[in-house]
Amino acid sequence: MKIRPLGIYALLYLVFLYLPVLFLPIFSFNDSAIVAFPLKGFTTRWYENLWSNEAMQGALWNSLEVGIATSVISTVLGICGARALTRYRFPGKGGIAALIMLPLVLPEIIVAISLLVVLLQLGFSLSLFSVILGHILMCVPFSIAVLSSSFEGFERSLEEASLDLGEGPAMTFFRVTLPMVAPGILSSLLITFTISLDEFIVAFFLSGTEPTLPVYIWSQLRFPSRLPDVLALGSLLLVASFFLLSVAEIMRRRAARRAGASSTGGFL
Amino acid sequence: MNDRNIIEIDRVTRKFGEFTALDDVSLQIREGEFFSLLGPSGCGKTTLLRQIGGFDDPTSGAIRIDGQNMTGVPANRRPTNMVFQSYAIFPHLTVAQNVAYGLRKLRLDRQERDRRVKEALAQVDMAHLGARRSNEISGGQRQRVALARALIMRPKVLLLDEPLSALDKKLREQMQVELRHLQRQVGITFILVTHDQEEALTMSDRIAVMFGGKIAQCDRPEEIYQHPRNRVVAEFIGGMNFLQAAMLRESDDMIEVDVAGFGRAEVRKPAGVTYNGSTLANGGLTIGARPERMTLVFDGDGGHNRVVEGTVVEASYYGDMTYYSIAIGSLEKPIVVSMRNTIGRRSLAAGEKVQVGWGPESLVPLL
Repeated sequence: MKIRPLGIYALLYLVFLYLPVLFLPIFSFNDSAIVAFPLKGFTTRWYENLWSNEAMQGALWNSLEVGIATSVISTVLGICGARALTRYRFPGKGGIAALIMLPLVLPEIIVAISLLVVLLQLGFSLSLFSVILGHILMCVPFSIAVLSSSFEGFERSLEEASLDLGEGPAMTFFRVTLPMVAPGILSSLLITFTISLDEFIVAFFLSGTEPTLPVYIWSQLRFPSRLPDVLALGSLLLVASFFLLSVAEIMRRRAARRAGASSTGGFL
Repeated sequence: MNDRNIIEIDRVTRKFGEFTALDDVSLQIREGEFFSLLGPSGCGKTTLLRQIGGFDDPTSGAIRIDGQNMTGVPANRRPTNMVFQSYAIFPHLTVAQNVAYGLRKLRLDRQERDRRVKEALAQVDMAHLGARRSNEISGGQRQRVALARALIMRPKVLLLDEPLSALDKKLREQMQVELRHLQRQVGITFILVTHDQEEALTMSDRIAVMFGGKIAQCDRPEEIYQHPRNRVVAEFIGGMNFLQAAMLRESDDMIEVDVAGFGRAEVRKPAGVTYNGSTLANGGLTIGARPERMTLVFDGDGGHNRVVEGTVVEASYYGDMTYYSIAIGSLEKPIVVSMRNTIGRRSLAAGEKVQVGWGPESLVPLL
């Protein structure tokens, strides 16, 4: 068989990208407190430990709370933003769009520190609420990017056709607008939830005494004996993120197809 | 078709900021009529259609449908349905679900609903495609679905916004015939917006030609074509030669004119016009002459008794017809005369001398 340089490059690239991540689940089933080869034997001990770890569960609930609040609020803001940016023309539109999307490329640590300074100056105490604020700031651009593809191709005459066929504005929204953009909304909810669930730096700076899951994981790294627990937790987080983002991308493509746009140039 | 007016447009004006899209338009459309709004883009025809459908409101004036004033009545409560230019087929629904969309409000039982959907789809030859997803059908089929979806509502008036402009020529011609046939079958008033003069001429009972937010002329297709009121209408519909003439005499319905390059003739006066000699003494009158209303007399062949001498400047061959540009002695610009290429007709070459046959019926005075 002919050796193709590009094929080799692609293979190396994928190995570099995913092999380290694969170690996580492998060691999480390894029957040894020391994370090293050779593997000792199969165990589900570390996962059982998680089951009884109350601090971890507290962190999990914190993360879910933050994730759900963040995804709902940033998706609602994203719907408004995406609809405004795709449907209307107004002065300063380009500049406004750029400013909204800017947090995508700002270093997280800068965002985190500035938020910390501002919140403390304003007299807020750090809590999950401040984490939610920080996460919304980071998630709105993602939400707008995802929703834009379902609003972009949305033809106004579809809503007019519904009115023409006797439905009022409310039923038109439920029978036409919502089904058309629903996959996009769902996709945005899943993506922003996942980002919030996995986010560390902003949560680390702003979470105060209530750690989110990534912050909790980081705190456990100081104890070598807890490392396998962390690996088990990390594996679960990995699976959950992968699943949520896959569903989100499928939904986004469906939304774009419904709206009539081509589904190439995927966001993820 | 009867003489009852289903739609009365009463001095409707629509302004978008400084721009006047409709300028004091009044119009009556009769029940059961196939009516066309014809004009170039930006003439206000689509705005007028959207006003009838309830998607836009007049700045002033009123629209009555079946005697009811429609001011403030939204689209969902008007007895009209629209076939959109883009068809606006709901992409998340199947063909049958699209057609059934408007029936929800009628609260029909399932069997009755399915029966009506089937009937509506059969009406547009789509009975076998009800289960298809709407992104799996062609452009022509989308147009049929849009038609069925509107007709199933049994509207008093069906509005069609350039419904054929997205189709290729062959399909368009076929749909023109089908649409006309369908309209006769269902007996509903159709209002068609189009910029295609041929489409308007072949399909309509009556046509309103619009320019700059005003109705330039509203009449039967033959009248619009044979007796365009003014130069703009004449130019927009078909080919036309414009000739200068002086008026010699005016009677009740005829005028006698002396047409430059041709000579004297007595022609029909435009309806409702009285020339008084003074306005005509300066500048004279513009006379239109369709290329096919004149003949070329050669090899002893020709229909008209009056002839003028000319020279062929150019011949444009169209298959069934040839259009000749012919220079006539005293005229600045050559005139265009068309000739049907029937058996035995030979072609003329540039430079050949020819006689152009004409008569009073070749000429139309324009305002």
